[in-house]
Amino acid sequence: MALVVVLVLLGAVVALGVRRAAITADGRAELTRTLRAQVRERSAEVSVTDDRVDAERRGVAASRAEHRREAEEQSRADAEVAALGPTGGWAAVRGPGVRITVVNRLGGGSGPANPRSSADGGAGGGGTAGSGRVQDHDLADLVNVLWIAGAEAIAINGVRLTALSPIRSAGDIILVGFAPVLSPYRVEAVGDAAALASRTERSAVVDRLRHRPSAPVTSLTVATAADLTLPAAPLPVLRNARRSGS
Amino acid sequence: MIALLALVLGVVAGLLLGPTAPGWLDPYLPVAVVAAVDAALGAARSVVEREFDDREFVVSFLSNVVIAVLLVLLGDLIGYGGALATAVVVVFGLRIFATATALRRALIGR
Amino acid sequence: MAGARTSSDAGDPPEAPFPPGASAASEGTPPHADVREDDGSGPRRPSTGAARQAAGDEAAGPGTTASTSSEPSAVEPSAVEPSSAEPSSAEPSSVEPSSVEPARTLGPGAAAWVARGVTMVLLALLGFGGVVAVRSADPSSSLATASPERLAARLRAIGADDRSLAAQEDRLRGEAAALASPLAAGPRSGADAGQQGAGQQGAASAGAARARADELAVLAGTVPVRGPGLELTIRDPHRSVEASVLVDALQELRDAGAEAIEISGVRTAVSTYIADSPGHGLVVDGTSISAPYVVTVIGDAHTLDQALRIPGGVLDTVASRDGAQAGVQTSGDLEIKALRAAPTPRYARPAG
Repeated sequence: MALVVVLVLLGAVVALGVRRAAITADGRAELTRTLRAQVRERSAEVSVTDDRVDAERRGVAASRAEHRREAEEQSRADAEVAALGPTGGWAAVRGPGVRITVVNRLGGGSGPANPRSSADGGAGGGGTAGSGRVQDHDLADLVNVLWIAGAEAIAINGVRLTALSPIRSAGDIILVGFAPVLSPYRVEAVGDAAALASRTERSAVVDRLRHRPSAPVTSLTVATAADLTLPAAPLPVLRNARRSGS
Repeated sequence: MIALLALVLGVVAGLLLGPTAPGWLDPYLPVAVVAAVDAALGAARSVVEREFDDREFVVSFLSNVVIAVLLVLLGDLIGYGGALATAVVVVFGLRIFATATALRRALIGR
Repeated sequence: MAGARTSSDAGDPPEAPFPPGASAASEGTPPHADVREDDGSGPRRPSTGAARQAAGDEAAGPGTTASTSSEPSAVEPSAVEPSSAEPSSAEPSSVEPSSVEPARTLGPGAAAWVARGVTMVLLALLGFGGVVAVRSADPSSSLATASPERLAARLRAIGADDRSLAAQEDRLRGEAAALASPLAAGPRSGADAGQQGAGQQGAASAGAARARADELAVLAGTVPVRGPGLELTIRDPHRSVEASVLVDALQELRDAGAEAIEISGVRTAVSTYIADSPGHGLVVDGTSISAPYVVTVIGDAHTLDQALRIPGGVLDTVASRDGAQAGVQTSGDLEIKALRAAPTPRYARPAG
């Protein structure tokens, strides 16, 4: 009956399966060996690649970290420069202040030097209370007064003063920050205009300059200005001084 | 119950002894397990319905497994190995779902 | 379906060719088994003893349709559950004699226990087999026992890993190259960043910015400074040295390249002023100082020294003051530690 048929079929299937398994056993073994070798080989390759990728990843991370550090360092340094530049004279500034103009003498030309005080009368040439030529120490004294009065930035004839800017004479020419300046001398200072003006007017140097012989009182004027722009000085190069660790 | 204990015992034994099946067993073992799970779930259902019989369970367990394995074997022979094995597992899976549903109804109440 | 089910076989349509157990018992049992059924009671509700005997008879019967253990013993699954095959085949043989012989003397109890035992064994086998199957599916299992199928699958997986790793490697190489190129450097390289090699521009520009910031700090007096230079000491017991002497000295020193100056503990900067404090000496940047005035200067020592000594210079001027004396001491390494606060301008603002 049907049952027998089914059983026979079942037996056939099983027998076929067994036979096939036997036949393919060898082939399978060979295949297994090959595949196993391949698996070992590829595994090793992949492991090597994995290590490489890890190293690469670490390298990239380190690079990034370094870039970040540098960028932070850079921005810190830039901030410092931006903070110290304007007041040091290394960056242009603008603001209210005073403009003091002093001429050697009306009509140009220059005459004998104007001594600062009787104590200096014997130094250098002359000693005569000669006609007043503005001298380096006059400008230095004027600048000194302006700093006393609270000036925040000063320029003479467009030459910005810095910690490295001397006001000295070479012969008859006044050099400001090693650059020659000529009369009329224009001293501009940014700060509290009223305070600067009043303090300057009361100063000894202004008095002295106004009362030079052969120079009218109007040879020196002090004017307040609402908006002065002072240029930047060239960036410095330090050859001897360096920041110390302490 | 003791039945669950036996199951757990088997699992523990398997974990502790930790053998892995030899390679030629590979296509058959999962199918056999699924078939056996179907039988076991059916047994659970009959327990809940208070109609459990050990003999029935044993017979159904063995017949399920044998049939499943034979089908996979047949599939390998005729070249439909993977597909037939999948079909077998799917069918047992359906049965498992049906049993589970009945089990749930029986437990949570009609 | 497993276990014992009653007649609601309509509920499980032909899902298994031999819905095992119950339906065999309830319908379609081979005639032999039927004939041998002693109980006469419908075999549907398997009471323990009778059903066992029926099972035993059926299993023993030649035309048994219940697909129990006799057949599978030849085939592979028997290896999966060898112990299950055996007790099952053992069962009929153990049950059969008891059914042929006075089975009833053994009593339904023993058979029941045997059946229960087999059930337990099968369940244990299921647990065991499940674990084994799970373990066998684990790719980390030993290579030695793996079948070609599993090995092939493993190779495929390795291939996929390899491809993914290769893609990652490419990506990472690209990133590394991008980071090393000059494009990665900060956009603000400052006026001083010269021509730098690729990959170093970022570091160089940060270094240049740092150097520039340090220089400005030295000039502003906000950091300590060291270098060669000299020390100018002005002794003035009679207070005859006025502020303007020092104002001139400041100009002379700057003219000679002084880069950092300290006057009696007061660090100088661009806005340094010197004023007279009658009767008390001098005031430098708001600080009162009195003689002897020690001026520490950092710059080229020789140039500074020469500048102070020119006729009409500071030394001459001091000498001309009543009772005052000036002395100079050059040095290869001086340190100025006095600092000033960073300026906070209220009127001056940066002009583009």
